[in-house]
Amino acid sequence: MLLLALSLTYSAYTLLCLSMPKHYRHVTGAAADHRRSRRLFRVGGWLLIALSFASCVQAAGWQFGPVQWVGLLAAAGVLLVFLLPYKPKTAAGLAVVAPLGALLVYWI
Amino acid sequence: MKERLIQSMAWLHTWGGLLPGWLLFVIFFAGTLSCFDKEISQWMRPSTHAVAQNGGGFSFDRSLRLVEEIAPETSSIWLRAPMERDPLPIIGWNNAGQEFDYHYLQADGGTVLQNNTRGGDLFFRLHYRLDIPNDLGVFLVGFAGMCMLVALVTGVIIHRRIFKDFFTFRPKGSKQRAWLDAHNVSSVLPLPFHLVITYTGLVIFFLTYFPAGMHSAFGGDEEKFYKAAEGGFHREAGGRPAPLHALDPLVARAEQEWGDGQKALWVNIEHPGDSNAVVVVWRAQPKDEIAWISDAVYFDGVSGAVLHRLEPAGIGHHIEHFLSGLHFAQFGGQTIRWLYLFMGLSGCLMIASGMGFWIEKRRQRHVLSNAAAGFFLVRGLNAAAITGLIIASAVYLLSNRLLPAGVDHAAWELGLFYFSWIAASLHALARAKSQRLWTEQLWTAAILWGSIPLINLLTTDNSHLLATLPAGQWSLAGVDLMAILFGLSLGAVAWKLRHKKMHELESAGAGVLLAPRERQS
Amino acid sequence: MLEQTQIKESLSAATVARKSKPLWPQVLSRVLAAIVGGYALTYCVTAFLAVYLPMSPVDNVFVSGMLAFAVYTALVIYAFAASRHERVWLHYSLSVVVLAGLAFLPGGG
Repeated sequence: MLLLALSLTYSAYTLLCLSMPKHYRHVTGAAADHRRSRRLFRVGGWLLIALSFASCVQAAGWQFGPVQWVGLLAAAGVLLVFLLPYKPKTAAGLAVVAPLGALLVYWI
Repeated sequence: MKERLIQSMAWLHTWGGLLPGWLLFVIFFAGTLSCFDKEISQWMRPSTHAVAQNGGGFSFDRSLRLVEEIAPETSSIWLRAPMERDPLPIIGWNNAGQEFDYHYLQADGGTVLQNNTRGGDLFFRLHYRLDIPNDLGVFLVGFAGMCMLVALVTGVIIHRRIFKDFFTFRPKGSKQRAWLDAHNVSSVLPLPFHLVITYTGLVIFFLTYFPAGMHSAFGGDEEKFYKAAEGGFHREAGGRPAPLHALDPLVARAEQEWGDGQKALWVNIEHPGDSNAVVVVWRAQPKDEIAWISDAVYFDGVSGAVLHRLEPAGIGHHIEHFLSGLHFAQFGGQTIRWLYLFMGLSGCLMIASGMGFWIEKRRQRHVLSNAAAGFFLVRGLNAAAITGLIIASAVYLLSNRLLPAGVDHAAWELGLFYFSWIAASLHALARAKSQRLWTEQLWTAAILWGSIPLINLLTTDNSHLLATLPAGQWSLAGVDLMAILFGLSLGAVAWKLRHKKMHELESAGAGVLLAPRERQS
Repeated sequence: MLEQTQIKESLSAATVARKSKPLWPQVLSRVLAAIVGGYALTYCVTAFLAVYLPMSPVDNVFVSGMLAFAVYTALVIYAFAASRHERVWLHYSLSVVVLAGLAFLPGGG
């Protein structure tokens, strides 16, 4: 469950990050038609953040859930921030793979 | 007007962070290690690792008999059962006005553990009182904590582009820019943690820092306040001797009162052997509550009748319990502790990179000026505080394994800790002018930390990874694993820094314009 | 007309003069106001709240104590954010007198 929340947070951050033209260009090498995709990325990002909070609370209750969530916010952020300058494509790819992988682990 | 505000807040942020910077690093680093203080203490008692299961053999009465042998005249006795994280019993006592004296027992609870080590308690004491015996340490830590609060808040105020720069990290640029980005990343992302941990840390000692409320609302009567706040039960000694009731049945009574499978952790006996003896049974801290809530049952020491139950705390007191609990992180098991460890390390990085950025930024200004000596002194002291402490901590753990059997472990380990810290500091000051200052110190730290599991393997039978991992002794293995992680991380940073140019000026030779002054936002 | 211009000129000259005076006395003043004045005022706010909050005396002491650090932080920041450092000293000293009086004079608790 923790893994799922972590990957959701990570993907959320990636979306929010991609909503910024500077980082989008860095990852994809091209400037997208930015106004619409920006809004899409931003909404999606915040939605995933809410989801990650919900999954933390669901897994650990209202006392510990928020505490864990705060930690995950930092952890996921650090992961993305360190991946981005070195391996931007991997960083973005992870945002798709990670939640799917976590879901897989959760069901097995 | 806005410009002037940003400038003054930036000034306050810089100096509020720098002046106590060394103190803050020590506090944060020691605090981070304190997350696992009990595990470190246990790791540093290798003679007790072989005992696989000590069974349910613990008895409070057996502990009491030991105390009666060692300290028969004491007026207050404390006995502790084994804990999950600290699996040895403790016996302790003190008389009014004297220091609390305590000893660990062997796992069987029958004899005192010889050759004790201070263990992880060193880091804990370093963290909240800089290992200074009187209140001066607590006040220095409080001062540093307040500066940290101010630095955090002003940091948010001045970081105008806090959202735009949220994901920015440019490790391939100049050293100065890398320091700045590291500082921003380690400050902004874990910001809620830094704010909460600093504030709650101060709250724990609010009566030391601001006893104002006690003075105004309780007329300065400390005892009156403590009695009202505790909600316990105390009485004077009666003066007539009387045999003490058996403890274990009282403990069973108390556990029955609490229900829910809650266990007793501490037993306190006031006026043992006296007609007015009181036996207090304290409940273990439940793992699923953040708030640091106590519960206790008070028994008449002679008859065994229940006298009192600890009164539940009022709302204000409860909030303080909650905030303290958030800081102590004794809730939620190992996951929470690991979380706090990594957040704590981010705090260490925040402080170290803040100081590193400040000094590198001023390098070109001061190196050729009259203030060069001062500049190099500060640079050396930065390393002394940061990598010096990291080195000393590794030496502390190594010394535990390398010291011969007969010596006083506590004293020698402590001595070697401070000695190696001083040695590393002297090296830092001697190499303050060198470009390789940080790489040298970091490599030393990396090698020392990385060698801990190896030395463990060479000097013990049951405590090293090859024994603890198959046996599932995760707490013990965790210390070795953490050491490996530290070693690798420190080595990685040292490796990264090996060719790093100090500043654009040095890489391109003289005559190149300095890079435009980076504004702190 | 001429007088007005002269006044304006002398005012701007004075402004220039103020800017070129040494900065450190003002900084020192603010630092002292922040650390010492801030502590004193926080102390008085805490004492005041401990008496006048609506909960039990014990709870009042706890809550006022816990708030102290937020108050102190705000006071330190204000000491540097205020436009004139004299104003900081004025505000802090007046508040100390008023709050200390209210907290301690009526016999305390």
